[in-house]
Amino acid sequence: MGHYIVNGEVIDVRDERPTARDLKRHGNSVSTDWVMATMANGEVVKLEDHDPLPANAVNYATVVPYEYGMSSLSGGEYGH
Amino acid sequence: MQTEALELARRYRSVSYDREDGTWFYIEKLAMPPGWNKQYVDILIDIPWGNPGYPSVAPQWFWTDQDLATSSGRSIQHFFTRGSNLADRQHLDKGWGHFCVHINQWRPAGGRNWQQGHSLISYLDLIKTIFRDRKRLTR
Repeated sequence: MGHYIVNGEVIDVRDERPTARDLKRHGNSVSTDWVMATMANGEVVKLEDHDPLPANAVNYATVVPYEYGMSSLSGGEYGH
Repeated sequence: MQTEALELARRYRSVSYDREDGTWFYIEKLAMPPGWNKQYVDILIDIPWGNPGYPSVAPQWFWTDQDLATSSGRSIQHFFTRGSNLADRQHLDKGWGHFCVHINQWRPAGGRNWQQGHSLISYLDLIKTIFRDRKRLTR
């Protein structure tokens, strides 16, 4: 129960021991979205739907599922 | 796209887009989280066009400042600053580099209910998450 910053907006969650799924529901996110928590040390952690919201998270994002890829541009290279 | 542009302008102030063909969307001075060599970057999103195009098809990748680096100078994975495709080379020649990120479950709502599905707002939320995910990008 409490207020959480999700995608830059404050979301009021009234569930006891809220989970990532609760955060999506209160934030009107798409049900298949991922919940990503930014921890106090700067690490970004993906939460499973049933995971409780971690106490030391700074903020959250609900995002469309994604993966990092290799560019289809031939001759591309990792930057810098 | 005009409706989405209005909402994005409310959130990000300076935005512009291709009003004729809807092939690109531009956000100026997106605030960066700590750990990068820049406080702000510009973002250029290629919008899929054709049939089907956006919003049925998700944006494939996004462009940002080519000289983006971590503040520690570590290399950035999945960030590209060279290419051979002519259209992409035009972007690269103008100082853009692109992040290669693939979306897996794009579910736009469309029409009046567009905010209940994925949109450019979702895509910008993803871009900001990627920038916060600096530790994974620099492993």
